[in-house]
Amino acid sequence: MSALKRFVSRTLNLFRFNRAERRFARELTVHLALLEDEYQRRGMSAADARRQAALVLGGVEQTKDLHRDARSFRWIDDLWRDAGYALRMLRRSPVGAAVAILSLALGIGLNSAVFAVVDWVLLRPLPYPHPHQLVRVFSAATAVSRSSAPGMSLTPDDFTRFGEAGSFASSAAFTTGTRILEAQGHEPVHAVVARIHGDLFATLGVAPVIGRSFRADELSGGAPVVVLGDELWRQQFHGDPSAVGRLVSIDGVVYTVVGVMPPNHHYPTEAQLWRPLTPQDRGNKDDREFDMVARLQEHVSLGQANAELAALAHGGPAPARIVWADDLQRAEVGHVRTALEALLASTLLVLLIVCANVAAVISARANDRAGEIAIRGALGATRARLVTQLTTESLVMALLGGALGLLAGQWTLQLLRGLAPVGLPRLTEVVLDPRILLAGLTMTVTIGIGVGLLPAFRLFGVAGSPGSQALGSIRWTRRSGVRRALVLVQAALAVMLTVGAGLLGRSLGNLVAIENGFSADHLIAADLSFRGGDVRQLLRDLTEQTAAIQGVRSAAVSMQLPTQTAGLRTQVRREGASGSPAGATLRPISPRYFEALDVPLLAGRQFTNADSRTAPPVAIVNETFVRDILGGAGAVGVSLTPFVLKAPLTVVGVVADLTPAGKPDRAALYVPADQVSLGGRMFLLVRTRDDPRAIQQLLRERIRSVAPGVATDRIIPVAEDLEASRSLTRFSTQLAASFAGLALLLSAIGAYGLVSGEVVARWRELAVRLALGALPRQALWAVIRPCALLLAAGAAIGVASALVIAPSFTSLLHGVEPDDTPTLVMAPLVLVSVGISAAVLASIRLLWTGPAETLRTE
Amino acid sequence: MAPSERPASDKINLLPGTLELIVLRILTVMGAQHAYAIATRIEHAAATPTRLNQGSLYPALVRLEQKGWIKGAWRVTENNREARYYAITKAGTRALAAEVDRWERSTSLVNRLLTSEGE
Repeated sequence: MSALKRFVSRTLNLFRFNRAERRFARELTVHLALLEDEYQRRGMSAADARRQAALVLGGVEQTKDLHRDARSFRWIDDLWRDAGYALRMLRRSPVGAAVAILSLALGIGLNSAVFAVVDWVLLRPLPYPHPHQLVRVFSAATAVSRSSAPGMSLTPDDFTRFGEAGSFASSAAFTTGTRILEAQGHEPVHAVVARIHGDLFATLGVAPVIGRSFRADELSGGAPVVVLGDELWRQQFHGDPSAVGRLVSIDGVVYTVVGVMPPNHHYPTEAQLWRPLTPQDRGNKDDREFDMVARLQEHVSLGQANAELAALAHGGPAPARIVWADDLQRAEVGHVRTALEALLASTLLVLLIVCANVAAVISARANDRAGEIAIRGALGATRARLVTQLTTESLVMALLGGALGLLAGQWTLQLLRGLAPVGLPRLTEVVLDPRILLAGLTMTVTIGIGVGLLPAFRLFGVAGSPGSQALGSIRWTRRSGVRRALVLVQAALAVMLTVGAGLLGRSLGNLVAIENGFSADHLIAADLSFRGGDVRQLLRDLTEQTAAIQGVRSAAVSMQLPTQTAGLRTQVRREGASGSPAGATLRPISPRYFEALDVPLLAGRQFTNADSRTAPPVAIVNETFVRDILGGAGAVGVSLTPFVLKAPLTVVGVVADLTPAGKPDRAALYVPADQVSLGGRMFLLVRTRDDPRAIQQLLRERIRSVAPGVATDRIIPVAEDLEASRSLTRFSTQLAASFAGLALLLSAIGAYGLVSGEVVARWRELAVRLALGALPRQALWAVIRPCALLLAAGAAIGVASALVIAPSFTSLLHGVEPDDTPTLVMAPLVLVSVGISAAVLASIRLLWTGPAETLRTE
Repeated sequence: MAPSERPASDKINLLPGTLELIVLRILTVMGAQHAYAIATRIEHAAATPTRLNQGSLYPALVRLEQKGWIKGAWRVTENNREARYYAITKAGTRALAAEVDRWERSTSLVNRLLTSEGE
């Protein structure tokens, strides 16, 4: 009780320092007066009595100190005063302070934002109960390297066989596809439907928020029921809970809505609604690819599960497939891991540079104040007290920088969210949560204390010997070499990052200038889905009507977007040839397709309206087809037998390859859409004269009038689609490049500070040389030479480190080798020239002042 | 300047905490007193002429006052000077009893151990 009272009282006294001080001063005065009274009574003179009184008391100031100690928390009080002092010192040299604080703000801001993203994407558990029991199961026909085949899918047979494994508590398979959804009173729209096999929701451990999940009999029998995703439910049913029980049609088949999932459920990532797989789906030979998730039994490890899967695969029918399971989260984020790790690594390097900058500023200050520190030491300040004071100063700086940094982090995070590619899972939900803020604070305090301690300890020598030299002009850094070590480290780090920035920058340039094999500008695609039936006439009408729109150059139809090179596979054989058939991609297109896409025709002719259903079957092949299947020989006139089409085709033309985002094309066989029976999903490709967005609405209306009932919600410029397909690469490259650029800027600032500090530290020497008659050129060279050597050494270390590290980021580089010579030469050149300019500038300042003046101020 | 580096110049060296006990006791016996009077009283109580470092009394007074065991108030002395008089509170009286008890137990233990050599 009394201890608590005392604590409260001491705490309160922190805030009423002046009042307590006044009161005690008054009390002490009386005490001294009473003592003096007594000594005077004993016959001392007034002056003697006063001296004696102070002696008996034990010193007025000392007593006050004792009193302060007892009545409050002295260390907090000290801290308070040190902080005030630190702020005054920062104001005294605002430029250095600004460099340090802004560097810190940038470093801490970037780090917290990137750490938040990395934490969210790579470290945070999936939003399901016991997320580490969840695994993805992969399967492949042949032994492939697991890391290189993250997307290996299962066949329905695989699922039946492996889903039963004893290691799994439950399992489910699914496949997704874009279908046409019609809800009553709404235009038809495209929606990504996940068809599920097994209880996916139960395996994950999620349940609908409204309505119910699928029943076992619905799942096994493939009942016509669906569960809606939150987003779709809001769009199509305006978030109305009575949506449950209503009917929707998917590709013309009617389903009953039984539930709505919670907003945070996105699995599989793009799915908008889920329905059980029907027996028809299962019989459909096209649905050969499933993704599988499973929940491990309690106490079963991933290794045990994999052993069981391997045994099952081995015992199965030939040809044997290999099967393995991997942690669900790891499997889902696999493709972004490298990018994020590179990002984190570059921000950490940025932080290192920031630390070097702050250390440089702090040690420059400590250097300037060596004299002051020595005097304080001589007057009896303890080392602990001096160290605390210096550390407080860097801590104040760090905290200011940290506070700004968290603001910067918030802002950076918004930027990151805006730039985030579609493929980066769950990024929209990432925030700077208290843990990240705590990490930021820890980082700040660690840097503040760590960087503050460095010069503080160096100053011990000075503070401990308060004699002649410390009060004079001896500067600690000249002897210690700490500054030089900093220059070296800084130069090395900066060069490493500049090499990184250069590589990524060049790679980004390659990405922008990449050859797609077709022109994506002014190209817009409408995603059309038909409910079966013969749509050939409809497509012809649609193409003609579209081509008639003002501003349209040409229009064509194709079963695939040019941004996808995969598609319908077929085995094909040269007519009359023996040997095994080769695989090719079948691409049904309309006439004028290559014209609309701007794909050059290399030989022969294009398709025309004359290549109709009744005309002889023809085909156009691409370069890869000619090279891989026809052995590079002349293709026009060759007769081919594709297995899916039965009748032989005559090749009438050769076109260039499609290389969307720089990916190589596959061997492709283009056939006239009229000559194959088509249905389902088709794309209308339209090349416009101006911005394709301008005709978006007109195009939509035209399609509705020609083909009523076709969903027209997906009419997107092809350039955007192309962008999305390489957005992850672009995102990480852009970010890493801009971070590395920032790092270069920071280290240039830092190198400037350090090198000019080095020159300033040698002002006296330089001044003496000049005063003794050295030519300015000679004197300058004497100072600049060691700086240049130091920078060059640092740069060499940087280049060497970059050569070691760069190959691990090869997957982020496009068309640039990790040991790209121009980059490796440019990076150190930039830094060394910045450093030498700094040295020259700093020296010029000295020459300007004049040696005599300089020596006087020393 | 931190207190730790002050030379230990107290002319009387008391065990930690005993000064507070002594102050409480003096205030019980003599009634409210100012710091100078308390210091003089301690010096007079010593067997041999002794001088106390009088300033060192203040931390003890602060601690006692913050614990609520004594209470200070400004009053006029007989010499017509205004001084801060400290009086023991009820809590202080209770605390004194407890502290005296504790002191006696610990000193008797120490005494016994110091005099029981060879047993």
